[in-house]
Amino acid sequence: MIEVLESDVELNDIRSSDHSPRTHHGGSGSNSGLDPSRGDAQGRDTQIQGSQGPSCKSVCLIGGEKSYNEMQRVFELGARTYFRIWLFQQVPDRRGSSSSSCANYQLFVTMKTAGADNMASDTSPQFRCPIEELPKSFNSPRFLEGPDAQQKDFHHKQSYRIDHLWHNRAHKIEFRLMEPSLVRIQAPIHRHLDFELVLNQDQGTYSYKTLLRAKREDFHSMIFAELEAGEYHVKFAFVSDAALMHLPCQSVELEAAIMTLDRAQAFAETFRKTG
Amino acid sequence: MSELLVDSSHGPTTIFKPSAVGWRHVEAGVPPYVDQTELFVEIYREAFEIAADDDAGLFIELQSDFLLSGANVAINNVVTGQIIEGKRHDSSSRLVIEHMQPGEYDLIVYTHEAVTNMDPTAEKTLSSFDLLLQLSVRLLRLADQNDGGARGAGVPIEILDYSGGSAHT
Repeated sequence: MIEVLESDVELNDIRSSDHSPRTHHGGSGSNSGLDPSRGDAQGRDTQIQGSQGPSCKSVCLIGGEKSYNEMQRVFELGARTYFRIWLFQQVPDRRGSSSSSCANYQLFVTMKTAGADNMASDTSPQFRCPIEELPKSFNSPRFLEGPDAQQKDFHHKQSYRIDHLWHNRAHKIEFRLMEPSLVRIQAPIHRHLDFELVLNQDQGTYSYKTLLRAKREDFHSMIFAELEAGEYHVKFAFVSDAALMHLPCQSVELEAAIMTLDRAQAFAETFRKTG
Repeated sequence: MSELLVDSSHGPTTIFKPSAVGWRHVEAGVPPYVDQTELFVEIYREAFEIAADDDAGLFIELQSDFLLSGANVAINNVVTGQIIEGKRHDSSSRLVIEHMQPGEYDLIVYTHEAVTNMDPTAEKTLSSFDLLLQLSVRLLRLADQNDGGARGAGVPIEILDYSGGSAHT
């Protein structure tokens, strides 16, 4: 947590209650400073998102971008601003236990002046994002549409930007199979974002039914399906904070392949001969 | 695992498993909905140990067809439970670890079953999938710049032959 101070604080005074961040303790009304012994059953995510988190007398920047075991925060401050960095962790309530909890951590702080030259490299993706948008459909010559309106096979792996999904926190990719096909769609986990891949079979204009829900498993989400001809869509359902999705040029990686069952069977036959 | 390590010095080991991956029939919108974790299929698991004085890293490369096999490779630290996965590049999954902490590990190759909404009795269906994999596993050691040619990147492998009571290096 970054706390912007109204004035400098002497090192000797930093532990006094006047300068301690305060926590919300669910209606008790007490502001007794940051107490790591108070547990939050819903975990750290809920805590740092505000309802159980600390508050400051003035400006308080809580949280950051999660990336594996790291929490990153990039912020810009005006000249002659005093600030301090708080590290906090709530631990499970261990009533009756005398053991104390410890946490290993590393803290890296880098600073640079916000001049035009220094900021250019950080802000340029806002103005020039080379990553293309998620397709709305696989029913195009690039993917499924072959010559003479036949279905063709494809295997694409690419990054797609998602920072433009302002109001809709999900994205739908439609596809129409004209013959039974094998479908594999895989998305590696993202450094900051959590999402699910959902395979739905369309039943009408506004009606669909779910076939498979692929949640994050270790390092990727995977859909592998053998589907009859028909209309389908794959949905990216994001469960992360919207602010993280709207970071400049935020993107996800997607690998997808579709092959007709006839050709897949022929391909599998070569496996047997080779094996 | 010892065979894999020795063979990988000459080239990748080919593993063919007929009908290794099945399918599961699902009715669209009818519970229980299938979750990805229920479809997990472990293809290969081999235990190995890194000794304190090995000072070794690990390079693993797995080649498999993305659509038909979709196999992934991972290392499981038996003590901590930490799983490290390889990163996929098209039809290969590669995992490079510069330095392995001493301890017991599992090498895991896994994939997932297919779901299908097709009629299981239909003639033209693939009810099981063969797996054709090519797997390379090599131990590595970082060579210091000052070592010059005196110290290579290869790591000697000791295979304990318990039945014969001898050891080969």
